[in-house]
Amino acid sequence: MYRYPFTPYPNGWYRVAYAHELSIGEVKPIEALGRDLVAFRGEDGRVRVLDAHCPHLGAHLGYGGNVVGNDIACPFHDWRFNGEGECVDIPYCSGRVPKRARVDAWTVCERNGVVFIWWDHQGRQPSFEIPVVAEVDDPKWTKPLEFTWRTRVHIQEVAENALDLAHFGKVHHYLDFPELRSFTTEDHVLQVGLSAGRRVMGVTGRSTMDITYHGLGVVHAQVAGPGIELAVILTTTPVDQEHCDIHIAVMNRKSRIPLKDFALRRYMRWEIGTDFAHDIPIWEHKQYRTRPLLAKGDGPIMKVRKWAEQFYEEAATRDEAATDKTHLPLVG
Amino acid sequence: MMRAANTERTRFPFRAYPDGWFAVAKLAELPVRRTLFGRPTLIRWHGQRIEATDLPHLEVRDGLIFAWHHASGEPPSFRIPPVDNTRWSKPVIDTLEVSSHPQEVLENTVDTQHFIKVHGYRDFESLQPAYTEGPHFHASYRFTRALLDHPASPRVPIEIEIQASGLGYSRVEVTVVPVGLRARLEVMVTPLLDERCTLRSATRVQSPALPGPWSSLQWPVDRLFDGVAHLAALGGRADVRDDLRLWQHKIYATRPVLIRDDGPIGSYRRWARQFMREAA
Repeated sequence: MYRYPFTPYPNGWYRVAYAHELSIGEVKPIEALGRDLVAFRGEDGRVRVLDAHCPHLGAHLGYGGNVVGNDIACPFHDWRFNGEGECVDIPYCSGRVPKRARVDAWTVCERNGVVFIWWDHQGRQPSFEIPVVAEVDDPKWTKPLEFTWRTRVHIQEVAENALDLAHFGKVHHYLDFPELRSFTTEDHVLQVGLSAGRRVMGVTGRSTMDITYHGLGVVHAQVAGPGIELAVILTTTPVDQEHCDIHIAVMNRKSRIPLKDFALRRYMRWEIGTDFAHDIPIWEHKQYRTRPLLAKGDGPIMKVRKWAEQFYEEAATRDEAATDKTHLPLVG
Repeated sequence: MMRAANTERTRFPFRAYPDGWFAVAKLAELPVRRTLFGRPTLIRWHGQRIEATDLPHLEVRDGLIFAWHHASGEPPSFRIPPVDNTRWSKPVIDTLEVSSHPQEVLENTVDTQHFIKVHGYRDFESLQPAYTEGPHFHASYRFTRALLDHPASPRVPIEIEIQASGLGYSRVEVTVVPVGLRARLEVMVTPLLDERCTLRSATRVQSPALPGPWSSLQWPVDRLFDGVAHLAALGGRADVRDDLRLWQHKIYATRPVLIRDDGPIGSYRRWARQFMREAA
């Protein structure tokens, strides 16, 4: 049963693939936003994302479809679709291609090694851009280390999690409560600075985290601790009404000692994997409280909800998936 | 596997169990308990007769038991035409379970253009426009296809003649034109629970009748053609394998965008509706 009093798909940019998963001519099936989609990279190097099912007889373009020039060919009857979703060629058609032969095309942005699609309930153009992360492709920084989870959680919960200061001690075994150094919101951007005491590779020290949200689906973060500097790209994509895909890509500044980078990456693989795993059982079984009982020290949870309301605006109008739900505001 | 929300409804916009004759069990399996047409059914010998709970009309063909199913319990309104298999080889039987509906499986055989992209056939030609005779559907085409399931295999022209009787039984006769070899596939589709089907096929090839002086060789030649039937069945299996890859992920397009060159899909769908009328 759907557990949340609002749409599962707020407006914003959502990750559908990493750029390296789509080389030229490659096709990838995608589940996102309650839809079956297909992503492919044309010979011109651009990624296109379309609704997956052919309007002809329903085949999934992502399983067996192939790229022809900058178009994708259906594996069933070879109908060709361009990046705008229009059928441009039917090899055996003696007449004109019917106008109705088209699928929905998605607005795509490839940035920081990630392919994003834009979702808006009313079909409007993107209202903001995802900024460049300087550490990506910087030779002083390592290639990203990638983590993936599919969990039964709403994207709103994932977004609130980083601002829920009190859970770091209980869930993640931090040495103390993180201190909120800064908190600002401006339009679609939310910035928060935290500092916390942690034990990293046997060294106890304070680390700082500067976290920037670009909508609910894209989070960039800088982490600095004793002898360690990380750049993080965290992306969350609602898969269907119940589930989200969470992807984390972590880069670290290369040290002059190669073995240290190796050890750090080994450590991160374990640390991030287990740290994140602590949130999952809580998310999968919790309820969403519209009017939570908050204590001093809980962090700016209600401010985050207030800020997030902009992405849910008029959600009820187009999303048939959630029409049977009451649309309560995020802040009760 | 998780399914995206927009496909999380019933896959097929029509009845799970169409009216008609469906293969339900092998004679050799009796007695057998099976869920048929949504109900638990016991098929067993009763004296000299075969009996099945709730299914009064049964027929045995080639060791297979066919049952008549009708949503409002009406008696059989047609018969599957008899087939004379006397000069044909022993059948090669294949059985598998697929996630589909009899309407979708049979639609595949009238979807002429998919043979080209999915199965690598070429040079499509319609031999006779598709036509219907009540519960029977006829179509015939000509293609060229690889003789064996191998990229280096030579291509041969073949003629395909399809006759379906209801959605549960169809007979496909394939002639390899240059050598005059004829293969006969009887394809039986039976709907199961949860939008799954059993797909049974019996493949035979025609064995030549040897003239008088050679008649002593008839027996070894017939056995040789039993072997040829296995080769023919290999070709059929390769085609089914290609289809399954697609069926796993496709949805049933209720309002497909069809073009003139698509073959008889539109007339097939109109014909198929007679087996899925909603019970009054």
